[in-house]
Formats: sequence, C-alpha cells, structure tokens
Amino acid sequence: MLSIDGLQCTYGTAPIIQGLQLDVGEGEVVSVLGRNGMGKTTMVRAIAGMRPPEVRGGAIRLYEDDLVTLESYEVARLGVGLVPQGRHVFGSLTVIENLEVIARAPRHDADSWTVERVFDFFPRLDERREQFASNLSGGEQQMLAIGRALMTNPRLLLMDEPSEGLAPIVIGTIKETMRSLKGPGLSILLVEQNLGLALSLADRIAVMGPHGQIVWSGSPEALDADEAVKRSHLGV
Amino acid sequence: MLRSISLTGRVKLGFAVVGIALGIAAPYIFDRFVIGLITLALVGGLFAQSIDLLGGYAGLITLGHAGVSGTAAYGVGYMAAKAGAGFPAQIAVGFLAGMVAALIFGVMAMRSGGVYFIMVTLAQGMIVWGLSIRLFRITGAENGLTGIPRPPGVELYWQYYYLTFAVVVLCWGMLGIVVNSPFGTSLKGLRESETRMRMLGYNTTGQKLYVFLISGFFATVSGILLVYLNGFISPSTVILAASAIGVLQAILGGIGTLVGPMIGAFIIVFVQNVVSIYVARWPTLMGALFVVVVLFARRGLVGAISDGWNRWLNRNQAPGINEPVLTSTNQPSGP
Repeated sequence: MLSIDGLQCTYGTAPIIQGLQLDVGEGEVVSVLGRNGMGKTTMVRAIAGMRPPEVRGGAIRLYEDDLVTLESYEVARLGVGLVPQGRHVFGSLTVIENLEVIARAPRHDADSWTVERVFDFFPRLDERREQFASNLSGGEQQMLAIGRALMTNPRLLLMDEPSEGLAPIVIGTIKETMRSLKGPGLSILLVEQNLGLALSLADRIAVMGPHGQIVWSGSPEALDADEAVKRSHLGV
Repeated sequence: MLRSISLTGRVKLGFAVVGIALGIAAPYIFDRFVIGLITLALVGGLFAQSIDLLGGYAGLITLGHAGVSGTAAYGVGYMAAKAGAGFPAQIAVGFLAGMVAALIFGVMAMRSGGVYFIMVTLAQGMIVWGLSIRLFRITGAENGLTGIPRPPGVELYWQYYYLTFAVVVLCWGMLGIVVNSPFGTSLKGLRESETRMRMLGYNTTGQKLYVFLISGFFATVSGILLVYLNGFISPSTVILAASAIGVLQAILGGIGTLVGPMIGAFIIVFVQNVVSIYVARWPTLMGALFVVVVLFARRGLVGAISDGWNRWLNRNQAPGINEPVLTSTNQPSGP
C-alpha cells in the first residue's frame, strides 16, 4: 500500500536521506530500526507531508497517490495517521477534547473510530477523560496520541518511537494494545530504537543505515539471529 | 434537572441568572450616566469577546479588529449621514461592510500565525484608519460623520440600553455554542499547535479564515451597536488604541473565557469614566492595574477566581469524595 521509491531528503542543503527504498504491504506491520541520526524521523516527516525536510527526489506512494506533492493535512485525509515522536498531545485540552478535535464526518464503514471506541480500547483513558492531557503520565499520553491518530481512521499508522522515555512495564502495555490493532485494514510503519518492541510486533524489519538507506531487511527471527547486523547497525 | 449539574455548573448558572436579572433591573436602579456607561461596556465587551474568540481560543492575537467593527460603523454612518437612507439600508450596508472587511482581513491573515498574525492585523487596522482620514467624501475625515439618529423605538437611552443588552446576551449565547462545539475544540487545538492540527487532517488555513469570519461577525455587530450609541463616528474609533483596548480588556478579565472580556470591558470603562472624575492620571492607574494582573493573575481575573474556587472545592472535600454530582438517573422518575 505504501511504497517509497528512491526518496531523497535534505534539510536546507544538508542531505539526510539519499535513495530510500521501502514498502509496506496491506495489513502489514513494518518496523524501521536504526541508530540515532540515520534519518528515521526525517522519513516519517517526509511521509506525513511535514516540511522541512525538503523532498529532492523520489516518490512516496500510498496506493495510487503520490504524497510528495501534498500538504500534511491532505496526507492525513488520505488515511495516514501519525503518532509523533514525543507524543505531542494537546496539553491544555482534556483527554476527551484531544479526541474530539478530530470530530470530522465519520467514514461510512461500520468500524470507523469514535471517541467511545477509543475509550473501550484504552480503558485507562476512559478513567481520565476529563483531565488535562498535560497531567497524564507518559504512557497515558502515548495511549492518547495513538487514540488521537486512530480517530482519523487511518489505513496506515505511522509511529515514531512510541517507546521513547517510557518504563518497560508501560512499553509492555503499549505493545499489547498495538498487537490487538494489528489486522486487516490497518498497516503500521513503526520506527523504533527499542529492538524488543520491534521484534515482537513487526511482520518484517528494515534496518536503516547511514544516509537513510535500508542496509538489511528480513523477518524478526532472522534479525534476532543475525548478531553482526545487530552489532554494526543497532549497537546491541 | 438542576441537581444533575455539578456545583461549579450551578454556581455559573446562578451568576448568569443574577446577571440577567440585574441587567433587566438596571434602568430602575441606576441613573442615566451609569446606564450609558453600562451600555458602552456591553458593546465594548462584545467587541472584546470577538477578539478573544480569535486570541484566547484560537491563539490568533489581533491588533486590528477595530478595523472590522469600525468599517461596519462607517457603513452605517455613511448611509445615515451622507446617503440619507432608511434604517434597514443603514444596518444592511453596515453589516455588509463589516463582513467584507473581515473577509479581506481573514484572507490576508490566514496564512500567517503568531507574531506575524499580530503584525498583519496591525497593518490592516492601520489601513482602515488611514482610509478613514483620506476618504473625506465617505468618512468626513477628522470631522467624522455626525447626526446618526437611533432607529425608532430605541431612541431613549434606556430603550437603547435594553436593545444592546438583548443583542449582547444573544451574541454571548451564540459565542457559547461556537466555543463549546467541536469547531471550538479545534480552535483550542490550533492555539496549541498548528502543525499538529495539520497532521491530523485539518486545513488550518481554512480554519483560520472561518474563525476570522465568525469573530468578524460579532465585531461587526458591536460596531453597529456602537455607532448608534454614540450617534457619530470618527477616525478615533478605528485607531490602534481602539483595537488594543479590546485585547487588553480580554487579558484583564481572563483570556480564553467568554465572561472574562466582558468583565474586563466593565472594569476599563468604569475606571476610565468614574475614576477620571477624581484622578487626573487615570491612564497611570490603568497601567498599574495591568501590571498587577499580568504579574499575579496570568489568566486574568476570571482565571484567578476559578483557580481560587477550585482550591476551595478541593479543600472542602474529603479525599475520595467527588464533587456532589447527582445524576438525574438517581432520582425517582416522575409520573
């Protein structure tokens, strides 16, 4: 469904991504791993239509649409839901308002996301619905960021380091909810530094090396067995 | 039904009822001078609310909104003083002029945000002021337009007060619907981060134009009320200070609330007109008042009061016992 072909991105004149190839299939969970500064977040921003980075070449296709020329709100409307790095919930809004912000006319199919469905999915948020998002714990904010992205009824969920800054037990909770999100109709592109989360969730893993190029790609089991790749590109 | 509302909600409802009762009784209590000031404060409060919809809710501070309300007022004034048209035509042209100004301003400003939005709107206000001085045939330049009578039935000061009071209460209710709607929530999202709203699928440029037009509608209404209240209009209605005072009223009373700008307007109008009888340097006093509010009550008087109220609520409730919210489902159902 998502196909990135020969993507080149720069910040000003500094080249960050030079020729990225990546595909995400229908209902597939693909995890992109890599060290700091390889261009993972740059890739996420480029897909989501956020500028900078400037896209200098290549194509990002979601089904038939080329996302490169689109504004970020147009990308979102095509069905790309972003869970940004650092969560970025609306701190001065309550939990329920954070979800109601996306109150657009729902799509016609029966399984489109509603505020109540998000609360069913994250009972923890239901208990906190009238609290300001700034008063939530990091894990709760992450749930809220995921719930908010789901409210846009995405076909592709872009997640940028959902485990960042969270305690292992909270990462476990997030992992469980994400596992139940997996299924037909929702593809996930998970950008991570946390190897464990990626190994347990992804159908396929791509390792990003210098200049945003994919240096290794394969199944989670194959990566777990490949000590050389883990050492040279992930530092574990 | 009343018992299904939280304590805070009941207190707010109480204040609204008392406010409306006081508003209706005011002409029987106060003399002509005070009623005149209250009318002025109501009009100024509506203007400040229209600014607060942009500034307090959507995070788009404007310093040129008197350009919108002033254009509406000039539209009425021109039709009355120069064209000699009837009241329906005066009001129609005034309304149209204000909304066209809001549309032009909105289209110009919608691509900017933050400080740039302030600068664009500042320039827009200055353009209207410049035109009000230059377009002598339409605006009467520095002399302004005089002799604008009030419509029949509201000629007397207390009649006009009641009209103003009714219109302001109606507009307040409409603003309440706007800010409590999903659109209102999306404005708060815009205030917090435009980038985030865009990545969630909002065309924030269009959203800014909508809110500018809605705000412009209320500014237009306040401009029309003002020109009939004063019976004249001059460039001093559209100077930068006229826009700035609306922003200051909103900040003083409590930005991001609807009651705040109204309270701010009452304070400023009464300080200006009552205190200036006794103190020659009232602007100094106003300045000091602002410094105190900004230093000790960032969210204005309403913010300070609501913080105090919440502290009181927390202190007077044992842990584990929530605010007494009795839902109507607990009550025995009626016949």
